[in-house]
This record gives sequence, C-alpha cells and structure tokens, in this order.
Amino acid sequence: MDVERKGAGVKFEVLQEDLDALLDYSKELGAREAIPINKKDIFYREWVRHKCGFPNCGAYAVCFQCPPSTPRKEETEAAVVPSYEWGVLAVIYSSPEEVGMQSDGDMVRAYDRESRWSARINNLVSKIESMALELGYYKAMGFTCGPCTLCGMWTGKWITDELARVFSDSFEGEQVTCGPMRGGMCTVHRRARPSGEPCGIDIIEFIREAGLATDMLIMPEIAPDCVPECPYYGLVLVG
Amino acid sequence: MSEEKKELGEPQRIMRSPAPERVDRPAVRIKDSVDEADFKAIIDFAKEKGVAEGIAIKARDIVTNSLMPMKCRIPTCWGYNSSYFCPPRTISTSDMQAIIDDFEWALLLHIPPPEPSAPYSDFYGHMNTMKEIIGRTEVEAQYTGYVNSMGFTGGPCTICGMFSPEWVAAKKAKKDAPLCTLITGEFSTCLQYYHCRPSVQAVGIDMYATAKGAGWEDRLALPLPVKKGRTDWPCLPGVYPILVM
Repeated sequence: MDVERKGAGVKFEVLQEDLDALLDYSKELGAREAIPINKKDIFYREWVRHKCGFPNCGAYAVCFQCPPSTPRKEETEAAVVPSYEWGVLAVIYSSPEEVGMQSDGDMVRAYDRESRWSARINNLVSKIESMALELGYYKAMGFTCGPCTLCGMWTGKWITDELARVFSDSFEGEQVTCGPMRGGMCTVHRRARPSGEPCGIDIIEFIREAGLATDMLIMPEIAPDCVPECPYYGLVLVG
Repeated sequence: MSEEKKELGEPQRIMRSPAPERVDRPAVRIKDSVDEADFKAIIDFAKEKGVAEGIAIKARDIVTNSLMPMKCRIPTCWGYNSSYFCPPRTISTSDMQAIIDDFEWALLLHIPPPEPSAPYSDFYGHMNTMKEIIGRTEVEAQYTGYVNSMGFTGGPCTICGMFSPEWVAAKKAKKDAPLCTLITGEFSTCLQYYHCRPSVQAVGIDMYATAKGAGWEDRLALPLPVKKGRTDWPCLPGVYPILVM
C-alpha cells in the first residue's frame, strides 16, 4: 500500500478509515488475524513481567527488548493509557512442526525455529508501526512477544557457539551480543520492538475476553501433535 | 560501498566549535518582568540565524507526556543512551513539568528539517545547525536579561562528531569512533557545552500537541520512515521551545 508522504499532516485522533487501512495492511503482510483493540480492553498486570524472570527466560537480562531493560508495568500504564485510544492486534501462527522446544527435543534446532518466528513478529510490528507513522500518528508504538532475535542472537548458530564458548571453551571469535546491553547502539534498531509482557501488557487476557483462542499451555511434556499451532501476537498502539 | 567508506574518511572528534563573534555590548539588568518587545527582538535574532518563524506562548501551554521519552526507547532510537541529552540520562517528565511550572513565557521556533528524501548528511548538518541556533538564541535571551532561559532541541546530540556520516561508516565497519566524553569519562567536561541542549522528546515535551495548541499544526514534521516499513527517525518535529521567563 502506498501512502503519500507529507511533511505535515499530523493526526491527533484516530480516523476509522486509517484503522481499517492498518488492519488491511497487517493482513497483506501475512497476519492471519488483525483486530482493532480499544485502550479500555488492554489489561495491565504485574505478574506477566515476572513470568519472564521466574523461571528466567534465556533472554532475561541479555536482550534489551526484554526485562529488566524494558519499561515497567506502571510506566507503560501511566504513559499509554492517557495517550492512546486504539491499537491493532496482529496475530501470526507458526505451524505445528515449528512450535519450538516440543518439536523433537533438539534444543539448537528448536531455538533456531523460534528465533525465526520472533524475527517475523518484530518485522511485522515494525512495518505496521511505520505505516501508522506515515498516516500521521506520531505516537504509534509497537510491542511484540518473545525476545528480539534480529541481530542473530538465539539462532541455531548462536546457540551452538554459545554452548561452545560457555561449556567447552572451544569457541574462538566474537560472539554476537545485544548492543544496548553493552551501552552501544542497537544494530537492528529499525525493526526491534520490546516484548509486551515485560511492559505489563497482558495480551492473553484480551484474547480470552475476545474469545479469539482457546487457552493453551505449551510445556515440554506435551506431545507435539497436541499443539495445533502457536500464535505470535503483535500490538501496535495508534494514538 | 567500500569506496564510499574510503571517501568518507576517518571519524573525527570535533574538539571545540568556533566561538561566536565577540560583541561588545553594555551590561543589561536582570529582568524581573516581561517586556514583549524583547521577545520580538529575540525572535528577530533567531531569524537572522536561520529560524523560519517564532512566536511567544505561555509556558503552561507546553504539553508534557511521559510517553515521549518512551518513544525514544520503543523503538530504540540510535541516539538512546549516547549522551547526556538523550534518555535514560535526561531529566524525567515530572521534573520537566516542574521546570515548566516555574516559567511564565516560552518562545516557539520553527526550524524545518530537510525533506524526507534528503541524504543523511543533510539531516546530520541540520541537527548541528539547529542546536547551534537554539543555543545562541537562548544565550541571546540571557543577554537580554532573561537569565534563566532554557532551550530544547531535537534529535540526539551530534555536535562533537558523533553520528556524522564518517562516524556511522566507522561503526558499521566495527572500527573505533569517538563517543560522548561525559559518558566515557575521557574528559571531565562536555567539549561542546555551548550548543548542547536536551532533546524535547527525551525530557517529555510533546511538541506535536504543543504546536497544535499554538496553531502551528501545519509546521510540524512527522518522524517519517527512511525506508518503507523501517522507522528510523529521531525526534525532529521542526518546532522547538525556549523557556524564557
């Protein structure tokens, strides 16, 4: 979709036609579901952030788009609630073979698959957010799910190298690390967006309220064929 | 691409910008009340330096929103954490609101950024020029008698050579490039303290809502994506405030 770029044209209220355009654009980009979400339907919960820490996810304190670097629930709530009216929730689904850790017990392969899906949701959200900016919504802000994997962290190669570096001391060279965590620049700053959970946004509760998906627990003990597909949620707030 | 990098040369740290021309003028008494004729004189001074337009507004009409510094973080701007004028080292939105509450008047200056299709070097040049204009106009307001004047700019601090095309090329090639001396501790002072002012967005000022309130909606520039689908623009709204009195 081409939108005429204008130097000015800042919008302060969401137009229905723009919201529809964003929903259409999300589907064009590959989202199976794209739903408008009103700010009163967004739930903020403290516990969702702590799910990143207990048990601690591999990306905790390693990735700048994950806690503890992300804004906290109270910061998100204080900033977001008065500033936005609408958002776009875009959902992509991974196939049963690509549900990660459960697929075949091969951790490196599972991480490699997961990292590709995380990169996809980051790409999708950044594109929808950019479109919202082009339409005039200067406050547009996107949230994804899971860690950012765009710089090459969490890929199969990265995991292999990391295992070699930590356990067998056989890795030589420079391992990819998150730039902002070292005080440097993010090499993928155009596309990386933080995960919504550490910011306190409880997407699952919205999904449940909206009747969009059944509750699903993905645990190592669950057989792969019991998991039909795995959704990845992206939320773009539009002003 | 490699040829381009060769042409760009090595990144240099700009040790000190040339000082403004010395102007001998009589000492001015510190003012304790507002004279609107002074505002006109300050705006005229700013126009000489390159500002397109300027108006005086009530300081209370400056809108703050804690979302603004979050916009520096999500998506992470390339200037985030690069100097003392970008988050997380800038003052908080609530502190900024307290500062605004202490002022009665502010000037809004319209300094339009280059067209979105312009090359990066134009934007780099614009960021430096704009900071110099704001810095000098703020100092002019101080010379006029408004000693507490405080100016705010847009985008990350770039005056010492950070984020220059050469600097970016060196970083991409994983070579050493000079960083903010305040952060590295290399020097105990900022080398460009004449011109450095915090970014409006970093301190929580919503310039879009402020300019709208002042009737300057059509002068605003959007943070347009450089490439389609890739947001890559720092906060250059085109309108910047100087708190005066």
